[in-house]
Amino acid sequence: MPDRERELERELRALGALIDYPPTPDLARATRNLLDEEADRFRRFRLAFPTLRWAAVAAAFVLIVAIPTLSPTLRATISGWFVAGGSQSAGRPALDAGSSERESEANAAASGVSKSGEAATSSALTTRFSGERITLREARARMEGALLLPDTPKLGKPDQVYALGTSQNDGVVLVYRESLPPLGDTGLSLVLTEVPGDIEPAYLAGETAVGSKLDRVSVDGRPGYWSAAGSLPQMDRHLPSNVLLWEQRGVALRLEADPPKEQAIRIAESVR
Amino acid sequence: MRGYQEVAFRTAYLITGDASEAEDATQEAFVKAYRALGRFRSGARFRPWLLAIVANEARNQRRSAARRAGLFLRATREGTPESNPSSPEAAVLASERREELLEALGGLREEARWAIACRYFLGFSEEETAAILGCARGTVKSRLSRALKSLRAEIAKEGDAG
Repeated sequence: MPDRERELERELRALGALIDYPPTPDLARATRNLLDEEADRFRRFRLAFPTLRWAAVAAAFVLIVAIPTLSPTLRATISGWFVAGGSQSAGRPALDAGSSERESEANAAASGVSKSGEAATSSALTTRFSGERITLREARARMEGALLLPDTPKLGKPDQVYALGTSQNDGVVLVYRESLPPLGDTGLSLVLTEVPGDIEPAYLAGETAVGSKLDRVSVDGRPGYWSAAGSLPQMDRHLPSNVLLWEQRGVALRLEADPPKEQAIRIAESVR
Repeated sequence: MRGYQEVAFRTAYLITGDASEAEDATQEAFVKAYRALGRFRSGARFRPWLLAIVANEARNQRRSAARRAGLFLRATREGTPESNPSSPEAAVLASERREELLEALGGLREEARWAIACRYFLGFSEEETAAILGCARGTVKSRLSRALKSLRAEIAKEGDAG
């Protein structure tokens, strides 16, 4: 290594050593207190509402005993309710039977930009995301103006937009229903999830990284990952889709759709 | 967590440029890490995993995109006191050189600034740097090399302008 480079590295280390950080607060204790408080609240809640335990037992009874004896249609409907609740996890979208009132309200808000609404198929009507339904404008605000959209005539604007998780920075989910070949019988054709930050903590942390078969790809020169349907744990187990992950302008994106890799990358490269 | 709180807080501080935002981000990251412990891969290193969560939370804490560019430099500049000069003249020269370096760092892309901060300011390993930058471990060296090259170019540019 030339002396000039060593000297620059030495200077940078010296500069780093001079940074006078603020005193570190006792964050371990604060975190522990916070977690203890949460545990206490949960205990108090359980004591205050003991009947909830009976509700849980009743739900289990419905799942295990009652549902198999119901008619196929009713069984599918009731199973849908419970599966929806079970598939939900923190900060991730899940299917659920949302309020039709809220849906029509959000559809109205997205009118003019959406091609869903009344045209949705019957399976589409039962396929809803449990995150709060929001408008494109709300999604932009949530992403601090960094909302990214595919710019292809085929896709147009998203049919539905959902908040991901509960906090302002958890991201958004854009749902396209009929623009591309459907994802099984979900009534969806493409789902684009946007989370502020990097791909790794957003989509590849924890168990997702274990045993996942990911191909490295390039999305407009940016590194990305491709996973054929079934080889990457799904954020939503109801989407039998291929998955493309990449990062763009400080946003980690996850595109779930049926088209093959090359077409998915073309869609990703149109995102801006 | 106690053993990691200082490095986590400092990382968050360099990203947010604000002590109270760094505190919030670190605490939120600790809570998330605690809840995600069950998903932590056994055999993996804990510190890079935790630092990746901290860095992500800190990035999310930054209130608006407009503030982002200057935060890192503000945190560095405000937190850089005068070193012990051997003479008044040496003090001035050292101070000018630091200012020159900071200006040059300001001209770099965020990705390059972070590669430099992780390795030289925070003293992170390649694995930790990769976790924070969200890239493969193997690409840290090349990214750092490009960052240093850009930094030298920025310094030269300033020298020419001056």
